[in-house]
Amino acid sequence: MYKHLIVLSTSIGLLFSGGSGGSWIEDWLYPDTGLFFWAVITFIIVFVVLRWKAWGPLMDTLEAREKQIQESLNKAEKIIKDQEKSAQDNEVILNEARQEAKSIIAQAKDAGEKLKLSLEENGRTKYDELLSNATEEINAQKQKALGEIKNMVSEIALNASEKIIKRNLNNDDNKKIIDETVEKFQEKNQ
Amino acid sequence: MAGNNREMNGDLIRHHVTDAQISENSFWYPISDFLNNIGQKVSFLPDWMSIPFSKHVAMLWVAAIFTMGISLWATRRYRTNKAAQPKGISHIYELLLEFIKNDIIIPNIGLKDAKRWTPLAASFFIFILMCNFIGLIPFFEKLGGGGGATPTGNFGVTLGLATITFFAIIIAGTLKHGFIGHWKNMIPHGVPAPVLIILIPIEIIGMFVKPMALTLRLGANMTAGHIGMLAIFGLPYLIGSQGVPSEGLLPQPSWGFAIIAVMLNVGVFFLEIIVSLVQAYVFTLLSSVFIGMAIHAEH
Repeated sequence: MYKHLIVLSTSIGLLFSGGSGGSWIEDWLYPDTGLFFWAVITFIIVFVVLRWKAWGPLMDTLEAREKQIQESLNKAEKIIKDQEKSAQDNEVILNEARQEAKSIIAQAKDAGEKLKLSLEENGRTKYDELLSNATEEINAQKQKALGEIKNMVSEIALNASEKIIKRNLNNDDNKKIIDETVEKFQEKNQ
Repeated sequence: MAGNNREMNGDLIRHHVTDAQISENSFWYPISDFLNNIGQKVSFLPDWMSIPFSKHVAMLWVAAIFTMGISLWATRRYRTNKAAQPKGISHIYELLLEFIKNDIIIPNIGLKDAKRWTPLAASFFIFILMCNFIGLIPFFEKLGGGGGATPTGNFGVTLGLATITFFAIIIAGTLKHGFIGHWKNMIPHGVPAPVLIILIPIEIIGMFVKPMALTLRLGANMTAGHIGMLAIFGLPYLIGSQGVPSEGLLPQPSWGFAIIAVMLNVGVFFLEIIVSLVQAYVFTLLSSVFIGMAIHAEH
């Protein structure tokens, strides 16, 4: 292996040593050492300066921009996802609210129906109660009035009998007349 | 201009595509002179290791300054403000970096190591592209001594760039699997010992072939277009000068062929723009593939 390396290095050396003399083709074909070194030095200077002052900042800027764009895209995607999610949530909430409203309305209807029924029931019983009370009262008042009338009639009869007695005291016929009068009156007022 | 003989075309092309010392009347001469003097004083280096300042080095520097200038100007907002918005040329840089990261680095190297290797790939792409394009601008013919050129059309430059890839492959493997782990990964597991005798040299050659392929592909592609264009432009002279080989005079071009040559070359020029882009892309892509192979060495 070392032999090969030595052969190679000498051949490269020979390659460089050519150049002077010979035809122009040889002149053109053999690399010139001076030019070779100048090329290497010039390129290294160009490379170092550009790496330091041009490519470095340019690459940083492009990288920063790429990062920023990526971040913005991620953010936008996240916002869209959030929006979609909140829209879904809203839909769910809306549906729930609709269901609730429906159930509330149904409940209200039910309660109204029940209330109506109970009110009707109550009204009827009350009415019946009132009616019966009124009937009782009327009957009581009627009895009372009848009693009063009876008293009044008795009094009138008494008065009338007194007048008769003053005229004819112990008279059976008179008594008979009185009783008949009273009975007639009672019949009339029954 | 070269001589007026038939070989003129060859000379012209050679002059254009090969490297040359900076001439004394050039804009670059003072820098060249200064650096070459320093180079001569550092005498302990062997002869073949001398580092002269030449036409292609000058173009390399122009490309480097343009690359750094435009890149720093385009990314100036990002240095102060991390939340900066792109504006004007910054758009191109953002697109470029995103493209290199998403379409070259991540498929080949992976997301985990993307941040480490994207700057290298981006630098390869933009620097090679700038070198390729600078070679297409005829104006730089006047700046460089002895004609402008495409720095990436020289195998010295492309070898230098491929060397960076070569070491990047080793660094990537070492960072991922440890120093010994990287070298162990070069050989497939569970291979019988006799096969290893053949396999080890093959793998070692393969290690050098990868950057060599990058070197040759980029260099040859960038030179081929220039040679083709110059050959087409040489055609009217070749045909026109057929009958007048007089000494000391410029060859007479054939104007009819000149129009055809210009039209052809406009087409070739557009092709060259595409080739410049494609080659910068291919170099970057293959470097990333090789680095990725060192990182994901699951045999």
